[in-house]
Amino acid sequence: MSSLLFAERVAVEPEVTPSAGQDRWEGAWPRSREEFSRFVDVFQDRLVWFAFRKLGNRSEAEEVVQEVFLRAYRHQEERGNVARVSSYLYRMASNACNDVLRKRGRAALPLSLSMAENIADPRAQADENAAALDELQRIETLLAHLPRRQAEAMRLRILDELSFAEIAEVLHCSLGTAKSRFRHGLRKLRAILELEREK
Amino acid sequence: MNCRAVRKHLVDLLDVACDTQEHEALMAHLHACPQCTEEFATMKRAMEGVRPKHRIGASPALKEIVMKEVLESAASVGSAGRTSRRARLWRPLFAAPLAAALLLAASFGYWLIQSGGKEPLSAFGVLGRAAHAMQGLKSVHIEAQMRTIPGDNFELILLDQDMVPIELWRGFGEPPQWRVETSGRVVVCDGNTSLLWIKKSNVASEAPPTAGHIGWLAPLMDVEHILDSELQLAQEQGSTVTVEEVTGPDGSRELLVSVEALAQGDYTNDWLLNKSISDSDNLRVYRLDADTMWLKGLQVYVHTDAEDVLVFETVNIEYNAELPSTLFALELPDDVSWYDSQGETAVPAQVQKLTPEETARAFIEACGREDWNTVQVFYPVAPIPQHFKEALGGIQLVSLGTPFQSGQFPGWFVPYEIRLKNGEVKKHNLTVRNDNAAGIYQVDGGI
Repeated sequence: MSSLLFAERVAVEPEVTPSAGQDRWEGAWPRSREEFSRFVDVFQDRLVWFAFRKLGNRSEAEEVVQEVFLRAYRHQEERGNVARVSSYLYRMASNACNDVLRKRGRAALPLSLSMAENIADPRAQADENAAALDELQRIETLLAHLPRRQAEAMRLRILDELSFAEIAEVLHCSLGTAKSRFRHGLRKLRAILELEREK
Repeated sequence: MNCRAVRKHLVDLLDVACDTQEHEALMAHLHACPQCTEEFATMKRAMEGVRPKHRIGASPALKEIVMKEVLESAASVGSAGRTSRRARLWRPLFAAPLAAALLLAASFGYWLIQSGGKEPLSAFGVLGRAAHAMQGLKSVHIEAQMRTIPGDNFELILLDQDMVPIELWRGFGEPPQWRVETSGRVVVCDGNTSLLWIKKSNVASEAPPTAGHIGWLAPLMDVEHILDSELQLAQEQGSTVTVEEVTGPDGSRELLVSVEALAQGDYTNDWLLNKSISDSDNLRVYRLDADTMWLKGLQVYVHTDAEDVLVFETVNIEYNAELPSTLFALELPDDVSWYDSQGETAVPAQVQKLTPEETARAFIEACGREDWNTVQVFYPVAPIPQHFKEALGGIQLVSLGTPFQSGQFPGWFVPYEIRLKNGEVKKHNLTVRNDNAAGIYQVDGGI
């Protein structure tokens, strides 16, 4: 019964995303400087985290996000018809991160290896960065067992806290496919975690 | 809701945004069902297993820098010739060996290149120099590779395919001539006519030089204007252009012109997304000799959610070699079939009214009946090739789906399921379009 009590306590609450209390941007592409200022407030932490986990380096992550915001501002009129601003912004950030990886010349390196190098970066020795990198490395090791698309859906939902609708747009797939990738990924992850516990 | 239905939808309880009605129904079930409750608890525990406890956020300086740049950007519009350098947070992001790279929004109407200690150079000037330097060209021969199928058109890219070798020749005399060839397809233009031959299916097509036989490769045939074309596209489509001066592998000075472009169509249905360069978010990197301004190379990457995929790259570019006139002529087999979508054959009145779905049905059923005269109304190839008859004669239509559009393609895609003569069931999308002389929907692909 004890497991049931525990399960009931956990289960009856739907998912509570840690950042659920933070602002989300539900409006159209920002059209004035004031709107843009709030736009930056809403997205800056989320995008820096997104870029950081892809690049494993905080300064590069901030550079990328800076660039993404400036592109967003410069092309605000052309992007006026973008249906969901958040997913479009994540795609821009993803592309910008890929550029950085390509220019580093090690885009093909597993993320865990890239991170291992960055831990040696003096700037990344700061406790906060190092702790985040350590943790990301552990998470990536687990996700590496999943098919690539399922792992990416898991990252976007759990690490970046995107909704399934946003994930579908970032990954260019239907809502059902996004949920399905997540569901299958989660099932595999459960099995992996159980194996880890048994070791 | 029974347990099976609930478990299928438990993932909805793990979404960020909650649909109250659906969640209430699910939670009501969970309260009453220990097994589903345990299942959901296990899912949440698995999520917790990969949820980071430490997160990195933006530094306090980020917003300040962004907003400062925004103000400066607004002030600099129209002030051509002014150099603007991005404030950097910690250190220069890319340390180019020779010079700084400036990111320049083409929509501002000016680009700049700045070289260490030198006067800034207008990118319009760079492009002008490139076009001028190329004006004396007699010929160019490009060896390249493209991620596609050897026999398919020069537009299609398939990210999971191997690279296919491709060769292009262009003579700059009057009239201009060219030839583009892979192992499965060749196009020659003698200056007046473009002749396409699909080798394996032995189908040919003759059309004006502007007919689009060479697809996305057309700009490479205008190598002297290629950067000019990119500038125009950047202004029309909002691509972003970076010009960077670097040291080449042989120590020479090179200019890298990088064009970041977004997919240019409507991808509500994403069937066409990433199936051609213009149907993808892509990066095109041109490498120019900084002294002669001649194009030394081109690479094209498609951005996907997971990675960047190299889909086209030049292997070698040779200028001003003697090109024999035989290169721009094509000897076709005697039994070649001809494709003519612009033919003026009489079309029955009822065909003119057919919708894309009705066209697909009529075409597939005509194949099934082996009624090749009717097939030719929708697939204007004469004679119908024998391999086509063998493959499609006797097929059975299983089902048709709802037609859809995707990307920039002007026609429709009709999902279909057919049973082949050997019993195998095949599902695909038939491509139909009606921008032809007869104005009826004709089959353009997906067979």
